[in-house]
Amino acid sequence: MSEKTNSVRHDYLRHDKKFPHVWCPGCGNGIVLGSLIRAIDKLGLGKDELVLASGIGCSGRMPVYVDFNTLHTTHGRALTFATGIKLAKPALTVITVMGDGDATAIGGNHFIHAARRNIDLTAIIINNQIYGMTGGQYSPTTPYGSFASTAAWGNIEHAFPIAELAVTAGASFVARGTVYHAAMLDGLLARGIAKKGFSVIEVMSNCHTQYGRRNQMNDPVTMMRHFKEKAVSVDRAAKMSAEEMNDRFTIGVLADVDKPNYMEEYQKIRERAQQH
Amino acid sequence: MSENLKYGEPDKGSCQDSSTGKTADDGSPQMTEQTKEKVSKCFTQIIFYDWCKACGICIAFCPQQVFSRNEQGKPVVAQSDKCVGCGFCEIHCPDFAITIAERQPEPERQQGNS
Repeated sequence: MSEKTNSVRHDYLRHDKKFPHVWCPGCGNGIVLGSLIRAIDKLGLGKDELVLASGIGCSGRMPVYVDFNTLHTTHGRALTFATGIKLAKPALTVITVMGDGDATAIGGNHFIHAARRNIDLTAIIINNQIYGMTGGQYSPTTPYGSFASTAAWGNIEHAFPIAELAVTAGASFVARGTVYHAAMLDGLLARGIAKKGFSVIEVMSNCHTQYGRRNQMNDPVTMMRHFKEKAVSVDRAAKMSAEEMNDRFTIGVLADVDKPNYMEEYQKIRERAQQH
Repeated sequence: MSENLKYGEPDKGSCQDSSTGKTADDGSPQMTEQTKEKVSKCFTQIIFYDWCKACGICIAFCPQQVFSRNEQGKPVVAQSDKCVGCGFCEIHCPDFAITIAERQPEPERQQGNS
């Protein structure tokens, strides 16, 4: 790619080795990656101050493409590895990127306990409502009644609202965005990374290859229009009735609270113990 | 941008697409002072075809229909002068294949295709 206009991307991407990436045409993961890079650039963080850890799944490929300290871990365990990194090197900014199955099914316990512990990490959860990489099996976030390869007659289970779950579990900063609202997502990611304490950013993303294909939305444009229609800002959602909000979801900042985080508390314990 | 640019008089300072010969004010007959100012800003669309996977997001969502589709389904810059520089295609391109940059009208005009 020519021109210095791409310098932001060139600074942070392994553009000379790994591109084009492996994701499907139109995959939301690329949009989230772009948003993450812009957010990091906005915060002025250096490449050596950052760690990007991921689990398994399509989203797990993300650390491959960025030029930070990166870690590709086992399924669902991105947060546990990230906790270890943060405790060993508290000065680093640790970001994890997970898929919906990775975070809420296989790593569900790690996710709620990281939120409860309020450790200073940022968890980006890319919610494409299905297990995309393994062949379209339904995941904990597949909406009720929609179709998947293991739910050929419609899903009879109900979906996890990931952001609301994180609020209840005790995360300091919780936000939800979509890949359509990418400019808004930049701001949400920047706020989440800057926040001291556990921050969760759920990103509604499109998997037209596995989810959309079985649910009458088999191209990225249709899926992005779907997100545009179904997303409701937090302020507007407060004025809407439960029936109106039935198949919609809120976007924006759902929780932003200041409370003691694990790293500060742990430091205090160390200081107290050393005085004795 | 050149301030002495007059509406309807394309000169060096105006945003003109060299491939079609159309001027920036084509098809928009009633222009206010404000829109004139906006149109007089020129943008260039750089598409990196090696990374493009022809998903069609940029073509579908462009508010000014700047792009058209080629036989591979990839975008080609059809109406470069209509671009308002909103950046939607740039931030929504999953493959990092589009860059929108403000163009200086005086130097050489760069075509969108590489």
